[in-house]
Amino acid sequence: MCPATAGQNAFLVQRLVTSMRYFRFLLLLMLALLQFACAEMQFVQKEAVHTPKPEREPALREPTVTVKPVSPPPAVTIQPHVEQAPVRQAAPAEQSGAPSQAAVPPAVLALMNEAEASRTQGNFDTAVAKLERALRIQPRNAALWHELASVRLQQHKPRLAEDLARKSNTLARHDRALKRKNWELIARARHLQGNEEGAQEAEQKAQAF
Amino acid sequence: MPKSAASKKRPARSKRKKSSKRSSGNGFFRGLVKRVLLWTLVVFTFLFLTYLGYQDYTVRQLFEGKRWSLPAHVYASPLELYSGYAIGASEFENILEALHYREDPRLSSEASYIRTASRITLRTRHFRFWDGEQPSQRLRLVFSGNQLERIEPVGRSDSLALLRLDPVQIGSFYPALKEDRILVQLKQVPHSLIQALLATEDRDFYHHHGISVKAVLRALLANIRAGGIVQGGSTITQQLVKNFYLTSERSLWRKINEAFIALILEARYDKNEILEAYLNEIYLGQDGVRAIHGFGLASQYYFSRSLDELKLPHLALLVALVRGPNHYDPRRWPDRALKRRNHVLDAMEQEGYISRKQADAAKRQPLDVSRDGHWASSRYPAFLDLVRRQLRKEYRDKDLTSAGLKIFTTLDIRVQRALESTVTRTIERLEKRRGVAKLETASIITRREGGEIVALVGGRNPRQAGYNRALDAVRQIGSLIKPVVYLTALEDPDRYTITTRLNDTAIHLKSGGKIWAPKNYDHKEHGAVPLHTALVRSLNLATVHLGLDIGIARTAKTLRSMGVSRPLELYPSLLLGAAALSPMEVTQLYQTLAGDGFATPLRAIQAVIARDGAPLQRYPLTVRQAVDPAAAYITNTILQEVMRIGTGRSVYSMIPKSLNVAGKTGSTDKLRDSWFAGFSGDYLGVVWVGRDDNRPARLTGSSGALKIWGAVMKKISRQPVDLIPPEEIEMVWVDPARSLRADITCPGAVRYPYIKGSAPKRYAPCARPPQDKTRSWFSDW
Repeated sequence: MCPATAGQNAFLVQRLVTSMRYFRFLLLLMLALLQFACAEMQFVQKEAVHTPKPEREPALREPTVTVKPVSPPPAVTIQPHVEQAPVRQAAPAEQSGAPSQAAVPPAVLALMNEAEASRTQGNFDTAVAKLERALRIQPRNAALWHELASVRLQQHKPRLAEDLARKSNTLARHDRALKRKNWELIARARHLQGNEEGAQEAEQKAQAF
Repeated sequence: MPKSAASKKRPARSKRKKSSKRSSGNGFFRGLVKRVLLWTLVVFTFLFLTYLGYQDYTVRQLFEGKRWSLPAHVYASPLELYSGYAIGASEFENILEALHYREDPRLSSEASYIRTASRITLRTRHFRFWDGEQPSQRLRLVFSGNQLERIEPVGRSDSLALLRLDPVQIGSFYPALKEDRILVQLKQVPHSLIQALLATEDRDFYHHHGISVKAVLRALLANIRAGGIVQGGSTITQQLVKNFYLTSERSLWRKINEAFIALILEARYDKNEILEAYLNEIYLGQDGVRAIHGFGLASQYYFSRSLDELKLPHLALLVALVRGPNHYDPRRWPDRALKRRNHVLDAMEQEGYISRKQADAAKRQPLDVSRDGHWASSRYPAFLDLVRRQLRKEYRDKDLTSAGLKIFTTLDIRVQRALESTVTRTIERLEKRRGVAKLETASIITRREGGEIVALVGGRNPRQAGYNRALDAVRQIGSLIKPVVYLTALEDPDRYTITTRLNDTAIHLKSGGKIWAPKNYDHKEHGAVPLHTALVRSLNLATVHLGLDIGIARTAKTLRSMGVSRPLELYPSLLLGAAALSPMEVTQLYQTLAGDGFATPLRAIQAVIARDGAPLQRYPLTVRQAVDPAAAYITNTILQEVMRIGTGRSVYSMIPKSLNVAGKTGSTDKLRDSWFAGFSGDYLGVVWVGRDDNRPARLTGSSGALKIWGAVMKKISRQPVDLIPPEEIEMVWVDPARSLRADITCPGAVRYPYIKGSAPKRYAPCARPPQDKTRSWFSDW
């Protein structure tokens, strides 16, 4: 969606570029538009404004993205509070540690499918067992935690469901759709616990994603 | 009861004596004698009937209801294999051996395999898990180096996504009597086994009434001819009765008892019922303290196969063992066993069950017993102790030991083995290097998520049962408590952030009438230090100032919500870890940090099922948000710094830097305790090293416990710590020297995580606030 916006803006720019007087103003406006349009991607990394490149970086990292500034400043770009750790792009070995959005191995997919089948048959305990096995293989897969929360909610365990959904949220990174689903689930769980105020709050959070 | 029957007989006998005295040739007396005799007869009949009734009752007790007490079996967590799993062919072969798989190129039975270079083809064992049956499969596993490349079902071209192997049995819970058996039903038992049994032990089984005069005479004749005892005259029924009795004393009284019980058995029960009982009851071997009973278990014990998979020579060998399992033990006395087996085959031929040709062919076969049938009854005593303690809260002792429960635990054999070898080796090395003796240790490793205990060691000698330090050594935790103090402070972002200056200055407190004046490890004061540095360098004075400022009670509250339930005294010294906890409690505490602020109860058991496979209990994964995940995130980033440049930095001489682990060292007064607690991306480990007599171990957290931790993580850990900032976290450039907001252009600027809105507001001179920047854009045109 960003490139499209950029394309349209580029057209505008061409027309107005003749008037050098407004060029700077328009450029600013464009940047503002771009920022607005791409806001979805930047909710963690404010600096990304400078470099609107796609967020395809390896998932594994602390939020210490080393941003390449327009003009290389003398600043030491380091991980938080590391005195002299070298700037690191995540090594390939580390990528496997970040499964949340990365490739889900077939073993986990197979278990997820089996869990889903058990669940539709009403065998919630079996579904839970399958999901726990999947989590043993990929413990930080946010989608698995969400599935577990969802089965637990079906089993009328709203408290546990809510905590599991929260856990899923802490692992969800940039997966806004999943975060929305988690908040929706939390809203339902709170509703079941008679916490209407909390449920409304969760619904609002869900809508924010 | 036999005793009381005997004592009642005596008065009857004396009566008879009296009566014989009085009958001195008189008609009257003759009548009296008759009457006395009659009465004696009546009394005798009554006593005899009582005796029969009692024996009948005993027989029914033995036969009906729960006939055998079955021990509980405890299993490790099963190996789950999938493509990409880090395991080499040789290591996998080790696991198959631990599971008693046989090398067999033809895969003629379940639990067999064949290896060709980097491929292992196997036929898995059918197994009933707590979440369902798992049928036997024929699979080919292709390895490349230290990785499993793919799993192919034999005869198909596609690949299997996931293979769950049957689990290794790591122990059993027995009642006083350590009998073990696998129950079989008569219809499952191969015909040849019954035929071999009848041919050698009781030819007239289907025709006699419990005792066979013919058999006794035949045995007598054979024994006289041989000049010794070569044949017994006991019927199968009598042998069964003999096995029911616990003692092996040979008395006439017992022989008589046995004969009567045999008769009652025959009268009450069907031949087939008796035979089935015999097949399950008979003693067939000894595996350490465990007695092997019944053909079902004997088949597994000697051949690592189930009974229905055995061939004629195997079955003949099992029947050969009936006469004397230790005398004919095929592993210790193969020649004797072979001779006896062939004798059984001959007997079968004589009785016409098999042909001459079949007998000869079978006789040519080797014994074919498996190398080792041993299943440890307690391979990992400290872990089993934990399992037993947990189950004792929920089951009666009798059910736990004799109801045939199957207990599925969380133990990971590979991690446990790695931990055990590391502990033993490292402790010896530490003793040598430091010149201390009698060092002890306790170590626990859990999965970082989910709180499953995968390995546990309760002392330097992991094989030895006894004092389980992992659960029972309650020791001061020293600096291990500090992350809790800092986490509590960070939960209040209006007052504390990662860069807030703390006072590392001397402090004197009156506590309990005494002056308490803590010192830093280096006996120096460091003035104003940023919060994260105080934790990284484990500064005592800064921590005490911080803890007193936020309140001791609040720190204690955080401890409780993180999972420590032991009551703690709220003295200032709590802030420096004067509280004593067990390694298990420390693990629970750090599990909450490893779980990003979510507490997970530690688990050693996944599920328990009954003997018939019905699920009894599940111990599912649960989480509870215990502390603010944003504060936990910041604390964890500082704990990573501890390992990079702080008290734990020596770990990176053992493990790769890319693991980016998080952890904390802990030492106590006079170096009595050496602690380390920390996690990688996949495992959390807590290690304690010290002495049982509480004398100095001369080890700090980093020179002692961390050595074990690092060495074991090197072996088991593959995932780096990958902290994910919660939404409430923003990364802000600051000038660390002055706690001012900076930007990327400032020299020496560093980015730190802050809870939104809590980062420094004032800007360093080198940085311009954003609105100024925009203005400058607009102003110069």
